[in-house]
Amino acid sequence: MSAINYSTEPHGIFFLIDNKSFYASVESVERGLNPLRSILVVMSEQDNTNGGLVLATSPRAKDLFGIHNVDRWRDLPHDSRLMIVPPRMNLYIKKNLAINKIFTQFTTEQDVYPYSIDESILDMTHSWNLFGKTPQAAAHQIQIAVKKQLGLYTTVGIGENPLQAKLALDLFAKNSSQLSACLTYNTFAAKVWPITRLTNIWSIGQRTAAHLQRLGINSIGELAHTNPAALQREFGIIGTQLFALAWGIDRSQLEDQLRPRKTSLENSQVLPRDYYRRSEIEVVIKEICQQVAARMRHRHLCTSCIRLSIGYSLAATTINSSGFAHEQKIELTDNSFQLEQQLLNIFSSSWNGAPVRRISVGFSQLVVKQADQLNLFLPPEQQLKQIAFNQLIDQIRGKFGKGAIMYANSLTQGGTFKQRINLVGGHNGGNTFE
Amino acid sequence: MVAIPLNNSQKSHNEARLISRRITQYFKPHIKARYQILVVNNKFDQTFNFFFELQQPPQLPHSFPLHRVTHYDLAYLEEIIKQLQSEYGFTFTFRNFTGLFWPNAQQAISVHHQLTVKKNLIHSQSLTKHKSE
Repeated sequence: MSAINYSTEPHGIFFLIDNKSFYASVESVERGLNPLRSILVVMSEQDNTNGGLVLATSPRAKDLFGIHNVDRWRDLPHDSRLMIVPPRMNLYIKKNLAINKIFTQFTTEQDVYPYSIDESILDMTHSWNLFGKTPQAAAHQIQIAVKKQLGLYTTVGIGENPLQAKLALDLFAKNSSQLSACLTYNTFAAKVWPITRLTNIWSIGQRTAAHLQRLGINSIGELAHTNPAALQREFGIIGTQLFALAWGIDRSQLEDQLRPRKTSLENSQVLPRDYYRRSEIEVVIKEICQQVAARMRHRHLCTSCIRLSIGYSLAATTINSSGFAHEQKIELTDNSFQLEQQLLNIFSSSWNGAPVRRISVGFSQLVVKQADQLNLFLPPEQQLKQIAFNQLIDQIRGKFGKGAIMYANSLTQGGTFKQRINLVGGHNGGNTFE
Repeated sequence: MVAIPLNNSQKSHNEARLISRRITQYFKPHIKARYQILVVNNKFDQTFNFFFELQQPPQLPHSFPLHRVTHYDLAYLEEIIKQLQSEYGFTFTFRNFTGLFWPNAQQAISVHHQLTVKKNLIHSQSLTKHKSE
């Protein structure tokens, strides 16, 4: 059936290990409950979640009530067995580090690649046979170690390359009674090609799936037997990636550090309500600008390109306009005042008065800061004062925390800085309870 | 200035105060609402975790983390619980303390759990009996 010679492709043993309903499982263990039997949801009840946003659901709650992640508060059933718990992002980060530490008992530290907060890739090529007669047996040992030390259940996808491991995890391991599954070059076609729900496959989203279906490609098998040149013409470089995906080929070398050609820093916020007034929106733009500028100064970088993206409220969204995103070249700087001013100029020139729900600020074309460049057309004292002011703010926050000092305008209506101090990744960090 | 290390009694007092402050933060008296303090023996992290559990129909039950006691010693926990119980009339539920006793009071910590275990035993015995019949 296969028409590709796999002998020249990389053959290793990779595990992709996922923590089953990670946040919900951590919260269950913290409450002395079995993660597979507890009935709880981790729900963020921040102001901008419209009453509550489900971040994680325990497996049993999923089975009983069909709750999914990112469901809203209104979607939850009124059943007193269902427990709502707030998220604690810092705790999850700590647990993730602990899990990765356990993984280093099974392979070298260099061969453990954290992929997300609850997934890690392990290159077990050189070590799996120390822990069992088969890769599955070694995977089982890892599962036992994590369960014994942290009380958490893990799901393992095994493959001859990271892609196969990821597909084995997503497509088969999660539904297997052993919580593990394996894909190889030999079994790939038989197991993956019949899949017709294309969005179930890693890296294929709704739009790509629709695009493929428009081309008459309705299964992975059909994708594998499409002319790669035609795919490339249609999708560009992604077309060749899709073709490789359909054949289970992944030539990535995980040990090679990827250096992004262009780096940028960005922060965004979904506002707790629609903002109508210019002054309110400007306060949040300034707050986000200060946040990104502080991150940039912390890395000793300067920017020469700023970006402001504004998303309108759903009610104001039309087919032609759901907001705007504009970039602007500026003189190299890390000065919050200048950056704020430039961003507000973009906002003033582009905003049509529609209610705003999402604001994003980004700085790109970053370079390492060599020195402060003074502007010949502005008084030097004023510029030096601004530089010293920014440094002082950074030092105070560095020493006493983000909330130690803030601009008074953050206390005005619309300011979100105060509410967001303890958030990690936009959700409750849980710092105060540790 | 040299900081004088706190003894266990002072430490447990401080931790009880901290938990108490956080209970106050979450406790809003409502009609028909049920409040309880859940204390968990977390054997994995070797900690005692405190939670404030609130059930106020028709809202779904909520469980808020209060504190994590890292000094993993039952006598120390007993001190904290004693102080909290003198302050609050909430039900205290102890999870994963089965078979353990308070070192000073010499009483079983989780009576409820023991009863459940006994009930289950009786139930399984009657089942076995039923099957053998």
